[in-house]
Amino acid sequence: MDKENLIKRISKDSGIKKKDCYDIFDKVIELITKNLKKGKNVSIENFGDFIIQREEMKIFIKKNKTRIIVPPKDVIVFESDKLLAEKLIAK
Amino acid sequence: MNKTKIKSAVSIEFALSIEKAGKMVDCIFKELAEGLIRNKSIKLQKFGKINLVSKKSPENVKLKSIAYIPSKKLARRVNNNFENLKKIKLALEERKELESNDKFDYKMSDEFLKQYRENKDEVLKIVLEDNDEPVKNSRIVIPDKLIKLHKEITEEESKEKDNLPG
Repeated sequence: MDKENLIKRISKDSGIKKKDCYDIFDKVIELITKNLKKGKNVSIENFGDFIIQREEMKIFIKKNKTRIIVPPKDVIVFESDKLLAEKLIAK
Repeated sequence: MNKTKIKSAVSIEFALSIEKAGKMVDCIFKELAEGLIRNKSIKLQKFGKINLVSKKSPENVKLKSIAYIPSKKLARRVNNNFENLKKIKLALEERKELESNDKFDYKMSDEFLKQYRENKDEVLKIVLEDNDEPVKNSRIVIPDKLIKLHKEITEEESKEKDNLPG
């Protein structure tokens, strides 16, 4: 599903002009990304949580005795709402 | 940040009543969820993709789960503390005499990890101390120091290894 379809539906559902819908939608997405960029978690009721997790540094040792050092990494993990996940997986 | 904060931010930005803004935000997430259920995936520019993926459990049973793949830019920004750090390959000399090679390696790794963590926290502390948005300018500082540390410690390791019998 892409943005245009989504906006159409939102506009229909809320009775607000398409253009305004675009602006508000963009703002909402911007708010989420801004917070994630600052390193803050975002939790949204009935949808899911965006959580920033740190993957610790790992060291692999290969059979030929080379070691590979993988540096730590911060990643975003999405934990969807349980009900939503159930609906989605059941379908 | 949570939904309430998003609602109030939207209400301020667009001069809407909190009630109206709340409805609008609820509507957006409702449609997002419904769209996800209908199409099994949502793709948004500058944000990323949420879709259904199937994984195999250790017992070889197929499992479905929801995965979020952030856009490249976003992923990079979130990871900016370690962005410039790359994988490092270290070749070790073969040592047939040391049967418990792996143990030896792990021991070194623990030490390395410890030193790394200690120093990493120190570096991060300095950068995080005086600001709200630390990361912008510190992006180069942290990784450079860490990379130096990587190298220093690994060089030490290899020197120690050379001095070992065998």
